[in-house]
Amino acid sequence: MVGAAARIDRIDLVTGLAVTSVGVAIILLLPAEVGGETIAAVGNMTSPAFFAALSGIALVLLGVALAGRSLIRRQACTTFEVDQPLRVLAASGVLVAGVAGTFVVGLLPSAAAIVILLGLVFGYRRYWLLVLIGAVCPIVVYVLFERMLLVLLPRGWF
Amino acid sequence: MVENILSAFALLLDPIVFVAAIGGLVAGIMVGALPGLTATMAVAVLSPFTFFMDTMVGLPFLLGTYKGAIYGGSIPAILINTPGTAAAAATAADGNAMARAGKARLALQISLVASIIADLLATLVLIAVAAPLAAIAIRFGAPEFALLYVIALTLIAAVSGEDTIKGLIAATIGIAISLIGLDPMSGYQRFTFGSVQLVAGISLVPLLIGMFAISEIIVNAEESISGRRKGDAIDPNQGPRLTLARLKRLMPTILRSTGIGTGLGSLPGLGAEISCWISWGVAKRRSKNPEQFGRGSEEGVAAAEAGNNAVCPAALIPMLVFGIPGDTVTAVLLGAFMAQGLMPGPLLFTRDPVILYALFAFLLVSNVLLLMLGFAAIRYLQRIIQIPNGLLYPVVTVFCFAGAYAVNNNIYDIVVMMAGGIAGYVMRKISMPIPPLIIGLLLAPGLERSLRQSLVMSNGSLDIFVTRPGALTLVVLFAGFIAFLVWRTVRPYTQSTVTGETTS
Repeated sequence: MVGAAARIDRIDLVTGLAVTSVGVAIILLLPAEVGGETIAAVGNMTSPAFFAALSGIALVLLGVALAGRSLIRRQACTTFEVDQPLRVLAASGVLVAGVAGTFVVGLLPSAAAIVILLGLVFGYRRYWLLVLIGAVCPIVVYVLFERMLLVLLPRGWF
Repeated sequence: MVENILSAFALLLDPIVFVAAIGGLVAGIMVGALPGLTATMAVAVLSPFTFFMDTMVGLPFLLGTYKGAIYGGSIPAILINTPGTAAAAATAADGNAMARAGKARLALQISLVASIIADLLATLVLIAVAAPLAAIAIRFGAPEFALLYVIALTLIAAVSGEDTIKGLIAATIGIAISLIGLDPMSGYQRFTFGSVQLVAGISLVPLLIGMFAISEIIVNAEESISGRRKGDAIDPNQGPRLTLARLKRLMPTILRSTGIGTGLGSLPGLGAEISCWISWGVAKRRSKNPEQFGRGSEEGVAAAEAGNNAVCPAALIPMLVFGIPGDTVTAVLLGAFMAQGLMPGPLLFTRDPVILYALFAFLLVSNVLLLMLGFAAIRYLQRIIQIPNGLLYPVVTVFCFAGAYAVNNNIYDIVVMMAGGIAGYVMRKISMPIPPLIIGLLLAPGLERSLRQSLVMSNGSLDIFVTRPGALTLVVLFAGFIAFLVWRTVRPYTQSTVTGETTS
């Protein structure tokens, strides 16, 4: 499972713009999400919106600073590089599927699937051992959490 | 104080405390010895288990895990030249060279003994300093605490990564995340988007598990080729042993590095990863044989290990005295203390002195346990460090899922963990430090509460921050620190301008 490396050279510019957008979003969401307050709350330190407005403004300023710096000092920019994008996508996919599986079929069946599929993504090829650990791991989790710690694990929709 | 210490030792006599401590130390050493599994990851993944334990069982377990993991990181650093934790990176420089020269056992024993001496001395400093500092801190009011939080946040954001702007962005994002949920003073809902799940805010431990453990798993998926780890481990049971005469020669290095580790560890933002390199560098400068550093110097191993292990007790000083975590591990520990009903800060010393001193006593006693377990680990851990990634990470992932869920018995916490994992992976890739985000998330509620209480006290006037002597001192300190930061940020631009003028 290999693929060509994914690379973005001037990721600081992208990061700066993304951070600015988050800051703008916080400021725009203030009236709807913090009791009708606006950016003017930054002048009232006792308002529940003060920190929200302040963090929104700070993110806008810092985002602009980062993006601006990436334009002025190109050599200082970080490069975003993923050597094995397919493997990263596969690992993330298994983890996200594991979260979805926990909602649908419960934690223990998902745990078995996570062990086997993630083992394969990591390139492990002793299939019998993977299946064995995939079977034993949920049992250990069940005994440890449900029997010993009395935590009722998610059962899923069925 | 003496009464408290005696009562504390009485609490420690319970055998279950020792079982928990040994369990924590063993778990910590094993996790630390496995390359790719960090001390923060170990404490974050194991902390949900302690929520179901008694205070004097759960906290010794976690503290043991922390100490064990920091020490355990040196084992693969020496045997396979792969630091188990970032704090052991400097140990690998000399430790592996010694192992290749047939002195693996000596390197491992120096690392163990230096770690224990440093930890023991730093714990004594913690005990000596914490109570007097708390006596001063108890006089602090809301304005002083608000300023203390601001200074700690700025310090952590500025020094925990290579890039101040990115550190500040991470801290601000942490503050923004902390706003989700109910406003503690007015009861307003903030950024809940009408979701009942968000009213209680973002749960810290699942987010921590995601940012440190899940992101680490994704990073390792990218780097791993499965199978066994690169390089064969060197037999740790061969070669010379550590003698008393040799230890005596190394003592000045160990003591100096302990001082450096204790000093750096007690400042927010400077952890074991930095301390090990500074201790190593200072030891090299002061050594009679600096040319041996990096080529198998015994002083190099002793300096690096004493430097990183002294940080563990020292990092507890700001956490216990002011409720300000100095690094990510103490941030997780702070969460574990709060889950046990203990609120770190100056009042902890008057409200729960016996438990606090029991934990101090445990930190002292745990060094004896670590010494015994460390020698056993040297003998037997050689095989564990070679467990294939393809088996290790899937099993760790399952425990992350179960641990994140168990914190609040809330299935949505698994979603928080996953979101934290993806965010953590992206942050690592764009060189944005994660610690400021976590510490921003942790400190923001305290900062907001203190600031608003201060303004209520002063009827909305900011004068309260300069009219109280304690607050004024902190304002001056903060101003000095900001001036230093500005100078550090501007200096590269002015230097490049001067260089450009000179070359043209």
